[in-house]
Amino acid sequence: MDRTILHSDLNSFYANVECFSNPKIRDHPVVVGGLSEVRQGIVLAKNQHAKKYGIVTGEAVWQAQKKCPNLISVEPDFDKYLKFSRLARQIYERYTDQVESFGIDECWLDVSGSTRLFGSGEQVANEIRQTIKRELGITVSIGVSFNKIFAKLGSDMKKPDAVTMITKDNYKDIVWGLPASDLLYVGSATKKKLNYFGIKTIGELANADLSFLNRVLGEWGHVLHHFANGRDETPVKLNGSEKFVKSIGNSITLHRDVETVEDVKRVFYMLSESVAARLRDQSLKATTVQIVVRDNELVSCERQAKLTIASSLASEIAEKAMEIFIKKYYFNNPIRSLGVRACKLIPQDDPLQLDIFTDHQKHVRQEVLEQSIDDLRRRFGYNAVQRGILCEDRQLTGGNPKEDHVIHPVNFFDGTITPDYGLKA
Amino acid sequence: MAKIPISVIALYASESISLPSYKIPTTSKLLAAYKVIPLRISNQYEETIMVDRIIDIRREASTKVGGLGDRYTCLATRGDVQKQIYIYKDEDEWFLEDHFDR
Repeated sequence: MDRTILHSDLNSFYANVECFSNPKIRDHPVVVGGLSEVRQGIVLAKNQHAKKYGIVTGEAVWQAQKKCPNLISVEPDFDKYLKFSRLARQIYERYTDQVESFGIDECWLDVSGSTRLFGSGEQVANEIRQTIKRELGITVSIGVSFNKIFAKLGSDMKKPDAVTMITKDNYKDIVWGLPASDLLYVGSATKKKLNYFGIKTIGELANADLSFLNRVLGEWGHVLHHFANGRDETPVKLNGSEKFVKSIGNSITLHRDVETVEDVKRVFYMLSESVAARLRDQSLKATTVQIVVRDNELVSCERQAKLTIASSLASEIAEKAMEIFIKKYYFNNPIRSLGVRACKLIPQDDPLQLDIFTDHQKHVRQEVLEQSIDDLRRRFGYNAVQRGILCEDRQLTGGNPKEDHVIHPVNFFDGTITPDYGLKA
Repeated sequence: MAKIPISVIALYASESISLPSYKIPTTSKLLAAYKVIPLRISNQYEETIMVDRIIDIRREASTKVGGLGDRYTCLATRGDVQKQIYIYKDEDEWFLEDHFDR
């Protein structure tokens, strides 16, 4: 029997929350980002008025202000956005217990079991859309389909405040004409490869030869072929089931673009401290470290490598991150955003295979040291104890990434497949 | 327009029971569903407004002042004047959309 899946996407989320909360700015072009007085700040979101000026998410606020001189820039307030996200989720939970978040402003809902109580997928979607508008004062676009991929494509189609139906009867007309890059997990590198072979639309991807796609894209060829043909069967997770931790990461958009290895090292140490502290809070260790680098043209790449032994130490995670960076990144462009992720986690108490080359006593002493630092910070604040390297450039590394809000991207497959879709040439 | 902060003396229930909203309930059902009923409110000028009756409670956003929460539609009295007003409760914060005189 066909499923009824909804994908709900809160429109221009940060910008609409700010415009709702402050009626004075509603009729003006507004972006949410850093303050242009300190030069740096990236556009995180823009409202409908700002979109008309060609302002793009991810560009610098000063660039946006050149396009629109009377632009209003508002600093982000993540506590407020998390509150609205939580309230939206409570509304979704009135209709189903299968609510899976995909970031702060998107959710999948499986309402297959609720249609007898609440009506068809389209009726539920329209009710949710009207309820969110009435109770939260913001708008949402919802896609309704028989799988998660098409539901997400549907929510992207009509904005703002709309419902799009993609059924088994109309998906070829609606979806197959779209560019292949609109499909989930087709990033810039995969798009380039597909275009090279003349595959430009989702329909051409769906009708391409499967063995050819496997040769060109590896295991992703099979996955994307399935997606394009509407055969995705991944379930919408039950509410709360995503609490099991598969990886822990932190990323940051920097106050200024960085161009030197020393600056990258400072940022990696800052992020690794947060990742390591959170690993220790959850009694976990990482066996693999992944880094994410995004340059000032918003091109991203991810690379990962295994640790010699499983670790929850900031120094070891940061050293591995630097090792990967130096080996793999060529500094074609200044860097705008960096991330560190600890993957393939194991419980802290799992026995480890030792070797005769590594100084394990030093590892144990370092563990004691970092736990002591955690205790001092818990009692006296984050700035009570700091690494020397983080004091060299306070503007770059002065924040507390563990406590300050950073939104973490969510993997569609939740760690079972880790795509390397942003390949650097 | 901005939110008008108020302080509220209210009746609190010790337990909460889930009931469907959007019905026009009696005070005991309201208390059970929403846990708190405002009885008397004071604005920043120390004026007291007595809440005579709760007509409706529902979750609503106030686009006028940019706030949201449980919206209480109340019959309230200040001095000799009785009228219908909206009182909002957003977690621990209470506010009005309009001054009582408007």
